[in-house]
Amino acid sequence: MAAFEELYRRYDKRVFRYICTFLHDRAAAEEALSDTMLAVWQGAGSFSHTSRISTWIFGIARHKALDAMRRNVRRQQDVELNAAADIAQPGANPIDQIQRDQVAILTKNAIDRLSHDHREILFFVFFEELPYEDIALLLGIPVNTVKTRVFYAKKQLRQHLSSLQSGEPVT
Amino acid sequence: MTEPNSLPPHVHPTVALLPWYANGTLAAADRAAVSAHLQDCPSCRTELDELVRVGNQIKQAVSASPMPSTGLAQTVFLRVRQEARQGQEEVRRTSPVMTEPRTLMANIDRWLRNLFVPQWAPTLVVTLLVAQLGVLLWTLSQPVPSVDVGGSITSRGLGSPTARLRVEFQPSASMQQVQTLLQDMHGRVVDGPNAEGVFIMEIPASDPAAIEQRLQALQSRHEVIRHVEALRP
Repeated sequence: MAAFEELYRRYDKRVFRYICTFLHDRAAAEEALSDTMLAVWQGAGSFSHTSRISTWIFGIARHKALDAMRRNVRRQQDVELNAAADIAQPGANPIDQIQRDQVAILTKNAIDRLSHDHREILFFVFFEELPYEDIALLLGIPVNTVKTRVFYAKKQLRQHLSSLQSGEPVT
Repeated sequence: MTEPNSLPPHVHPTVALLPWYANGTLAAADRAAVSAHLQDCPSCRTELDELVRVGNQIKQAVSASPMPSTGLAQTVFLRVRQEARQGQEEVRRTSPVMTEPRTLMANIDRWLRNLFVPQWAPTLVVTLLVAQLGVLLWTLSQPVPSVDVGGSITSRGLGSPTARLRVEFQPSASMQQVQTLLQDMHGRVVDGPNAEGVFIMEIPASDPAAIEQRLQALQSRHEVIRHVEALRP
């Protein structure tokens, strides 16, 4: 049990952030995290070392989050996670902190406007810093698709950022 | 999503690898190729700069997203413990004779232990086994030294009468063991080995009964002798 607890603490935040690329409802995201970790525990015996453990766990999380999306498709309200409240980092230089917070909020808003496929792939490349082979394995798509998807996701994000910065309505 | 599955024609193919150049996970060969291209391509350098900047923004934005509730972990641990207990009870019910039920907890512990086993361990074991096999084959391929030092069969006399035996030594027998055996038997090797590894051994023996007695004595030395039989005169 101690080993599982260690594993949980090592991955819960990373998995939760990933799940949040699918689900904007905190309760649903927590439920998906809980389901993911239980599935990890139950499926521990079936894990083979053909992939990294993180890739395996993210794969389970992906299924659980997609299940949750399907379950909640009707009742899901687009409850925005209160980013601003969580961004504040006490102790930092206040002016720098405000600028960083503004950039983070702006980026988060731009990310939220992306399609889920684009959000997900940017998360894996820039936050999880996974190799493209792992991403292809995880998403079940060809390596070439991974590469082109990142290109177009970044292009889309840049457009959203520009629109948000200039105050234009986002299309 | 209806985006094309290729980059626009005016974009350098190298651009497709830049995100992984930026996140540091590109294989060495690809990394070297991208580095070389960046030396001479200002547009790709600009693209890389933008990727790094956007990547940092994404990291900052994702890091700032909310964390799971602190109570969630305890809820999950509680559910896991409950399931573990149920699993144990299930095992006891279905296998009442088992003294040590194989619990689900045992499964998770075994799996987690595996996570900390270096992946190179099986490779190392196989390498050692192959090396051992190589040494063994090399040893076997070496000419088997005759019992008599120098590779030739000596012709010192044993005195008459003598009997000749076909002897096959154990592959594991050492030179010292063979020499000791010969001394014990007052024998000598007069020929061999042939292609089957058989030696001809000469021992003093005056009559058939003495030969049989010597044969039995030799057959009892299993650690040195694999097979021995008398040669017909």
